[in-house]
Amino acid sequence: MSHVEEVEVECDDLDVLQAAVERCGGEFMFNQRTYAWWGNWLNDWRNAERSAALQGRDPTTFGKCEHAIRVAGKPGKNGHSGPWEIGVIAKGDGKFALDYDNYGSAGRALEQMFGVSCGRLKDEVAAEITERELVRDGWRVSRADVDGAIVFDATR
Amino acid sequence: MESIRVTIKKGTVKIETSGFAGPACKAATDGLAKKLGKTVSDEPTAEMFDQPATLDTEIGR
Repeated sequence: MSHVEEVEVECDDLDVLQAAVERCGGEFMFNQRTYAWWGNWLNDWRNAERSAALQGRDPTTFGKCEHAIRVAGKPGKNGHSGPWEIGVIAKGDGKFALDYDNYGSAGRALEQMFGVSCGRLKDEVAAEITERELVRDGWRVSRADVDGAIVFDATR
Repeated sequence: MESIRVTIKKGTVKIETSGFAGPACKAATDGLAKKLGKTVSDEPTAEMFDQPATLDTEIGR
């Protein structure tokens, strides 16, 4: 099975992305050119909203990346038991593409850490950008996690 | 006292300001809003035209 999804994240700063990954409990692997997944494309996923292949991505690019994200301390391994990883590819328009295979237990392990469609990771990227911008502008900033939301209060 | 609250949840960022004089709240948060992505709503409250001012900005990511 191969359920590769491409998620866009509004960020063009690897340092921000790395910090967000670490907030989620992950590890950012600079210059790792492949990410672990099922290992070959089987054309077996019909989810038009999430399937990268159905959205026009060339399946021969699956498994290739510029950097990778993994569960901290767990090197990735292709094949059904994983562990699998997320591939990071700069899109050149101020965004990164995050590729990952969401199939089965190896895919679910990534989604437990980084969120379905990397939603938790994307929120942590927004949090990192927010905190850096506010501190840079001279605000005193505090962070709290409230009812599933990340809340920053800034004063000056 | 000027203050900004940023709430991030499930791909949406809400920026709320209070205590600013007039449109200064927008100037204080414009840079952050641009860094965060596309603004989907920007609602000056009636207080923006008084003092202090408030502004709610919501950003989809």
